[in-house]
Amino acid sequence: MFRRHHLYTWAVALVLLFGLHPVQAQTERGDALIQNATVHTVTNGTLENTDILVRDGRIESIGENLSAPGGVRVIDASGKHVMPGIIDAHSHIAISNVNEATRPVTADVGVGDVLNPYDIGIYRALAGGTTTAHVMHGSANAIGGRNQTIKLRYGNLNPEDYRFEGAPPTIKFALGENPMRVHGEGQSIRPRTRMGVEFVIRDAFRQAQEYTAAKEAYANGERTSPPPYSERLEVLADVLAGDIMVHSHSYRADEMLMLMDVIEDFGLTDTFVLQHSIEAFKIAPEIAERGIPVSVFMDWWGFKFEAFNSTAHNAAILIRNGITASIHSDSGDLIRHMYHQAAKSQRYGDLSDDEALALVTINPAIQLGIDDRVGSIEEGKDADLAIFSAHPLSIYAVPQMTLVDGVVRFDRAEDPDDMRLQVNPEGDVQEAYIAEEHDHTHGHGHYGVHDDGIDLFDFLMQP
Amino acid sequence: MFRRGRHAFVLTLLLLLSTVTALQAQDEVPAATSTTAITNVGVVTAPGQLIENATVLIRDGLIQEVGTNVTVPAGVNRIDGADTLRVYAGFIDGFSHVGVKDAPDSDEDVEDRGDPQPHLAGITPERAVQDFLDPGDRSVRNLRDQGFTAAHVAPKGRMLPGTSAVVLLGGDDPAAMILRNDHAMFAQFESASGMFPSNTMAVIAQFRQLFGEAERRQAIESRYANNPAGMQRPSHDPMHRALFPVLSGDLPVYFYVDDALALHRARALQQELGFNATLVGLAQSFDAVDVLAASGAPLVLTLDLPEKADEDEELPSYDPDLRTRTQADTEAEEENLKARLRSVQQQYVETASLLHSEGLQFAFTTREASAGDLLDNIRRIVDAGLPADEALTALTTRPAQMLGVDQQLGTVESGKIANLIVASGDIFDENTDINMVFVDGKQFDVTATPEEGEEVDPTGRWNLTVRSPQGNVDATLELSGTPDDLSGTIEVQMGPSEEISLTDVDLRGNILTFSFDSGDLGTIDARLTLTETDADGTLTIPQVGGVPVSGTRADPDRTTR
Repeated sequence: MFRRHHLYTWAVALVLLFGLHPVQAQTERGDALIQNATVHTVTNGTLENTDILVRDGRIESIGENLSAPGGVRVIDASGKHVMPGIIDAHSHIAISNVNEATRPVTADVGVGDVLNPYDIGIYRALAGGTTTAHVMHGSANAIGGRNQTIKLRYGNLNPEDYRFEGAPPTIKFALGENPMRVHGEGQSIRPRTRMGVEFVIRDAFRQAQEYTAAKEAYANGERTSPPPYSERLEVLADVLAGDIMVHSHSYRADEMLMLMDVIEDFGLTDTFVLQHSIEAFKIAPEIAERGIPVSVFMDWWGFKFEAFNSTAHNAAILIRNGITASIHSDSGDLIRHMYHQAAKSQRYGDLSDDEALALVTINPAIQLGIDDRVGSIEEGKDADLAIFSAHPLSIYAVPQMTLVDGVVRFDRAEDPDDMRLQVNPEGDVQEAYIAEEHDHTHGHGHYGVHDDGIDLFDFLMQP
Repeated sequence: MFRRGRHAFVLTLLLLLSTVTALQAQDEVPAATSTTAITNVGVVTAPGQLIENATVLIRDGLIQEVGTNVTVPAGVNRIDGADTLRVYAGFIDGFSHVGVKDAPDSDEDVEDRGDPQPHLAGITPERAVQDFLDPGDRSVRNLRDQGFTAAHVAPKGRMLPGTSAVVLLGGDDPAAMILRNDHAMFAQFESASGMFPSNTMAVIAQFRQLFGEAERRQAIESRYANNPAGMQRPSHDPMHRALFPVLSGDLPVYFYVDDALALHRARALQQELGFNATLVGLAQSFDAVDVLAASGAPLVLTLDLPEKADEDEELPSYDPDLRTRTQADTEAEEENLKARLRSVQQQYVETASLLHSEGLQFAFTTREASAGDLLDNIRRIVDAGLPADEALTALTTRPAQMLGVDQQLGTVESGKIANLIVASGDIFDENTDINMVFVDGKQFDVTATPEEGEEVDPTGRWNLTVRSPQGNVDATLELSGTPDDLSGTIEVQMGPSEEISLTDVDLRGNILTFSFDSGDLGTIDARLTLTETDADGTLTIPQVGGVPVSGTRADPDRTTR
């Protein structure tokens, strides 16, 4: 268990070690031997009385009667269950800004630029066994900003330490009422209608194609100067090149079909994931045919008109149609009990244990392009692990310990009252209690001490 | 009527005050050719170097001689230090907006809030602070009263307000303030309101956009400069052009970062875009000492500190592992939270000493601090472990070097500009007062600021008497509003009088300050110490100086609200 008062010692040690040379983020990696657990590998079944040896942040071996080299911490997990660290495919924790709602296309911005390690929501997510989150831009714009996949290495104070190294970049798209309300109703510009949303996306792609063509023409000597620089079109050109995955907020079946057509027209079907998708069950065969992954709410809908028609069987129907489906939180509250969300898919859809666990582990890992590193308990993968008191799909299960890269980031046995990493020096001690009462429920708000403020707009931006 | 009234008031004052100026004139030749000798003083010529029983001779705005064997010419203005006063080099503010007016408001409408006109979104790198200087701004005097005689100032604004200059905190017109122009480009994560970039994330994207386009335009312009034949003339674009010297690294960027997150973000942006950064502000940088060290950037640390904690309350020392298990233990939890708050407040005060012990060098910025707290805060920082010599270095020689004015400022040496502090003793001692400062050889007396007393509600009517050597003038002051938001008028009871509206009405405890426009005499600043029934203080009149004023409440029966 890391200690706050050790953090500064660490910082000083790093300065001493590396002198004045540029210090890149140093990701701490741990060693541990977890003994005698019931191990839910997700991809290779469930193993009883099994040990997991973690060396340098990776799972070195899985088996019986493994021995720990000297100095390696031994964690007795007798009677306990270990599952892969939970992955949330849609979250808004740990960032200072969510929406840049001033225009319908903001591919130029990215939440990865405003990561906030001080967000107590990170620790709370760890306390529910979550180790990785896909932190997303909001849904105000038809084409929003870039997202950032992070590991929940709480305790680190440098935002760079949170980036999931090598995770493919992704960008947020949004269909329907949010962009229509913000830009159409709010500003009387496109998109005012669902048709308008399609136009905005196609038009942005077309501009990016023209931009790329102009740059090529300059390179070939067909133009005397390069086109005016556009950060927005640079990013969209990368999207069109397949270098940035599209994750689109969507509710209605007709809109999903529309966007799948747009995506197909631009050849991006392999780098496309549907998010929310509460009517996906209606078009499961069409989605399956194109091999598009879908991330859904487990049982949350009806919060607005376009989100009226869903079912708690949504995830199970997608799985039975052969779709790589995941369940996401989109919330600072749900991210703390994703194992409950997964368990509901057994009540509503009768998924197997592995299928249910896959909804919050290997499937979101595949959707985020990080399944070679996380999402299952396999030798060689990152030691991102969650230890529960009982079967994680049982309502009686309580998270006991969460490891990220083999480092214990949450331990129920050592969980002090005040886990904040910063305190407002001119604040009141009551802020500690207030911070506890807030959550990140659906509001996409962020309540850190050195906050950029709760944006009323973010607050209104329901998922 | 309005004009005539004001005119009469001005004439009356001029008449009365002419005696004062005449009296002063006997001792004082015009500043530009004045010679002053400060004798029998301890002179801290540079950090750590004290000469006792010395004399400082100031002539024509420069330090002519310093030492124990200085011959004082006859007939000069003499200040006898009586072996107790100390002379220091005037402090240099590493970054602020002292003496800088707001940029004029634009009444232009935003045409497209997703792509607004740059100046509406706070993108004005082509602006230069010399166009916004105002030596009469009260901030100049406030900073001078705390020993600051020069400052590095930038325009006010949002993400890219413009280029900065090094100015002297005296002078009667903006041009006289300027020591060095175009020192740096000022940048910060200050978003636009209701238009792009509306948050930090978008400000970062906008920096990338501006640098990308500036780079493109620079390439085109340099190609055109080399060989214009057959090439279309590049369009003139002052905004991007202002960034060319930033791209080449010739113009440093003073990046203001007000907390650790901003510090990480500025550092990441600097590494990505490759500009030459000076990091300014740096509150909470105790969380990112490694990043500061790795950046190798010059540093300017804030003099703004958290309000002093309530030190009387007995608290246990902070226990980060405390775990209270039941509601019955909430008292222990709350005490622990208070202890943590206290230790964090101390962490902010100790930041300077921490950076120093890590081998990091810095100057200080007054930008976020209340002017009246500066000297107190400097002393708190020294009490918290920053060696006094290092504090003095950070206030004098280091900023002089960083700003490229170390030939002119920073030490008490012959040949340098006479920017000096005359204090009643060791400047880091809490009982020491600053008696006067010299800026460019010009003497400014510092009226000892009385300790703030308990807050008095000043609203209502006050009968005041302005006491000039030639006689008294009565005036009526009328104040309304709440102590946080006061407004009022002043009416001088002589001839056809008029009510003049007050500006900058401010109450700190029982100290009331305000200004009013007297027309030809310029803006008169007032400072009054109040009790429930009495007022006592000074009116400061441009070109004239301080005139005593005192009075009583016109409605003494009125009870405090």
